[in-house]
Amino acid sequence: MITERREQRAFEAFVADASGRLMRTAYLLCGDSGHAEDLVQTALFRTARRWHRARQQPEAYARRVVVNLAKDRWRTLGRRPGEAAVALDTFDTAATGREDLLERERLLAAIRRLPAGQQAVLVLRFLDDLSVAETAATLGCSEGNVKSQTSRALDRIRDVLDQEKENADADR
Amino acid sequence: MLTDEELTSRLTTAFQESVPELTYTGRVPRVRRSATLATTSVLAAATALALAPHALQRGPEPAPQGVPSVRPSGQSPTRAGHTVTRTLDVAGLRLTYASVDGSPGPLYFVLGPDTGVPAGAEQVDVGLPVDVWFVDDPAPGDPQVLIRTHDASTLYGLLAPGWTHQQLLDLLEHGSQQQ
Repeated sequence: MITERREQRAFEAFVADASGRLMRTAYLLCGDSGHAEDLVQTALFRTARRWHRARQQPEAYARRVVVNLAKDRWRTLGRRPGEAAVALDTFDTAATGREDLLERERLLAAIRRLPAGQQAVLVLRFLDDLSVAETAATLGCSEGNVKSQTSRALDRIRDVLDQEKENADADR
Repeated sequence: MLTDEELTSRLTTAFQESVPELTYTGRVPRVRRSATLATTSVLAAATALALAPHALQRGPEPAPQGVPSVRPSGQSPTRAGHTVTRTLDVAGLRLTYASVDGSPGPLYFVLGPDTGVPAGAEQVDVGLPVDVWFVDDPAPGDPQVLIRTHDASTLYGLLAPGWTHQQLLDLLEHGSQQQ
């Protein structure tokens, strides 16, 4: 019983520490906070249920579940997750200039146009700061696949931004 | 032209600054530390399921359309380790199940009129005024079905983390989980 309580406290400490990060990842993968909480709740439930296995790396385990649920949701919905736009009022407008804000919005819009798998790779690598190996483990694919997806995503974003810049220059 | 380094640096900044402060406010489930504990919990769940009322009725009204994601209705707060009976209204069906150990239970979502059933989905006959298909599990142990009423085109999804396919099927056929 004492051990059980100790494990429960360890799990609750994990939730307190990691749930915010899991929510941010889920939010970027699915596009709104309500769905993000649903995904995280399910992930925490599954992590708790398999705590004896997950306790070594609980955040990695829970993140994997979040990503799998998000991927399934994309498949089921048959559309990309980013169609729910990130609201502009989430930006700290006082701390950033209008140009910065617009540039960031253009960047996010370019990301949202990527295939879901490439978006997931970018979120895991550049929001969660996972290595190539950790990203591959989370997505259940090879490291080579992560590298090629990252490269393709960056190329596509760069193309979109360059094209927009050319258009803007031409309009001046 | 932006270098990879410049672009990834901008991506990181954009991600960090575009995500609002999000705090998880949902339930914190109880852990299952070992096989022994798991067995105990399963027995507790089995007992709870036996107590769950076997009621399937047509809901008074179809579930509201256009709702992106909905938690089970009629739920009351539970303390971890306790069992409550919850009711879920989906596709005009009223489904009742027992929630044990803080389990979130099945989650349903409305896919809308424009979403088709994916090729490869397996249709099952549950003897109800709805069509039901099993689709690939998003993760092992998380069965999922799609539901569509005969007289409406809206497609619903029902995901039951931690359940078996049979439990999910029983829930649809009998209105409650079966042992």
